[in-house]
Amino acid sequence: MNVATTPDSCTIQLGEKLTFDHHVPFRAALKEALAAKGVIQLDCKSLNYLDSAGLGMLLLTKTEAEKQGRKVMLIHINSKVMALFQLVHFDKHFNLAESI
Amino acid sequence: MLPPSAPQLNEKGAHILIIDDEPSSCLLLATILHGAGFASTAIAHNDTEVFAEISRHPPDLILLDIIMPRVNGLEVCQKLKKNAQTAQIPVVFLSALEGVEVKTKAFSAGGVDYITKPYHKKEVLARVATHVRNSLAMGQLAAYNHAVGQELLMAEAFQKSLLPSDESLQTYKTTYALNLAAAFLPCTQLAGDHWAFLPIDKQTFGIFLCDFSGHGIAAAFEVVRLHSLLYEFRPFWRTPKKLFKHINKRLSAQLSAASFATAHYAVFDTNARMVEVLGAGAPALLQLCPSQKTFMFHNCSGLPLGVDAHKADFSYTKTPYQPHDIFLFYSDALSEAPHKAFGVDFLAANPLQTLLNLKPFTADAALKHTLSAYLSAPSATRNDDLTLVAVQPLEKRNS
Repeated sequence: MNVATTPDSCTIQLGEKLTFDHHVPFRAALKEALAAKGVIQLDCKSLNYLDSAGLGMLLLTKTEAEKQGRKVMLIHINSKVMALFQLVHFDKHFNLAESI
Repeated sequence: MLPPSAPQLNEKGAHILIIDDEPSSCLLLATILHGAGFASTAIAHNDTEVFAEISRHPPDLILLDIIMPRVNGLEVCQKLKKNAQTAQIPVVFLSALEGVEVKTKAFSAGGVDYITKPYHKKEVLARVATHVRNSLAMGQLAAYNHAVGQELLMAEAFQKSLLPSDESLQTYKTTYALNLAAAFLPCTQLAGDHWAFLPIDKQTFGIFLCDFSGHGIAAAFEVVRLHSLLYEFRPFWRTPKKLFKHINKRLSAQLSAASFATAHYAVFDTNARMVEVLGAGAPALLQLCPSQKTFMFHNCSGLPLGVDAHKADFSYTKTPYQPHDIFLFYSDALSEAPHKAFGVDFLAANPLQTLLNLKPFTADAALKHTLSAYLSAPSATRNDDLTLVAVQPLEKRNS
C-alpha cells in the first residue's frame, strides 16, 4: 500500500480490496500516515470491495487521526463502494468525495 | 491456552537417520554428528530397514545415499514423499555423483539438499544444522496451527451453542403459529455471525441477527459478549430503538476502534400483523408476499453498533404483513460483492420470483432453496459466515 506525503496531507493508496487479509499492510501504511502531518486521505480509486474488517480499518484510521486532531478524507470512491458506505452510514460518518 | 511465544528449538536433540549401504560411510557420518553434539542417530542400510527404523523412531532429518543396491536413494525418497506419515521429513542426499542431472533428479524426488562425497565435516554439520533447525521449526509451526485449528473448532462449537436449539424453535413455532427454518454455516476462519429468537409475550416475538467485523476467535468472543448484552437488556426487546441504543452505547465503550457489529432486528406483533424493523448497517430484510406475488426489501442501513456511543443512527420501518408471507433474514455473505464477481446474485429479481413460486411455499422450502443456490455458487465466494433465518407467520387459530 503506497503512502504519499506532502507538507499538509498524506495519502494512502488503497488496492482493489480492503479485507481481513490486508490489515497488516494497512496498519503499516496507517502508522506511516500518522507519523506525517495534515489531512489523511484514503484514495479509493482502485478500491472495489471491502469486508467488515476493511470497514473497521477505516474506523480505526478516523479514531487515530482524531486523537491527533487531524481529519480523514476518503477520495475517488466508486458507486459500488459508495453503496456500501451508504448502507453503514459511513457517508455521514466520514468526509467523502465521490469519483468524478 | 496457546503459548505466548514459541519455545526455543533444541537442535542437538534432533533425531537423524543415516541411510547408506556402506557401513563405514554410516559410521563416519554418525561419528561426525555425535562429535558435534547430535546425540540421537540411527542407521539403515536398505529400503526395508528405512521404514522399520522410521516406524520405531521417526527422524527429524534423513541423510540418504543415492547409490544403493536393489532400491536406490531417489526411489526411497519418492516413497517417503508419497507417504503422508513421512512426507514432511526433510531428506538430504549424499552422493559421489556430481552431475547437474542427478542433482536435479534428487531435488525432483523431494530432497531439500545435496552433499557431494567425499564429505567435508564442516559442510556436513553446517547443512545438517540448517535443515534440522528448519525441520523443528516446521514441526513447531504445524503443532501451533493444529492447536489454533482446535481452538477455532471449540470457539465454533461455543458460538453454535448460543444459537436457538431445535427444541426451543419447535416451541416458538407452536406458540406463535409460525413456520421457521434457520441455518448457520461458519467459514473456516470463523466470523462473527449470530442470531437469536426473542420471545416477548404470547403474541410478540423478535428476531435479531448480527455480524461482527473481523474473523477468528476474537469475533466468536464478541458474539458471546453480544449474546450477554441481549439478555441484559431484555426489558427493551419490545422497543427496538431502545434496545439498539443500549447495546450500541455498551459496545461503543467496550469494542476496539476497528470493531463493530452490523445488525437487524424485527419485532413481529402476530395479533396486529405488523412488523417493526430496525437496521444498523445490515443487509435489507426480504419479505416475500405470495398473495400479491411480489417481494419487498426493508431498509436496514444505519451506523453499525459499537461505532459511536452518541449516534443512534439506525433505519426504522413499521409494515403490515399477511399470514404466509416469508421474511428472510440473512447475513452479508449472501448479499456481498464476491458473488456478483462470479455473475451470481441471489437477491436479483429472477431468483426471488423463483422463491415466490415455490411449492409448497414454506419457510423451510425458501431456506433450502436459497441455501442450495448459495452452496452451488463457486466456493471461492464463501469466505464469510452465512446465517439464514426464514420466518413465516401463519393464521393464528384464536387470533
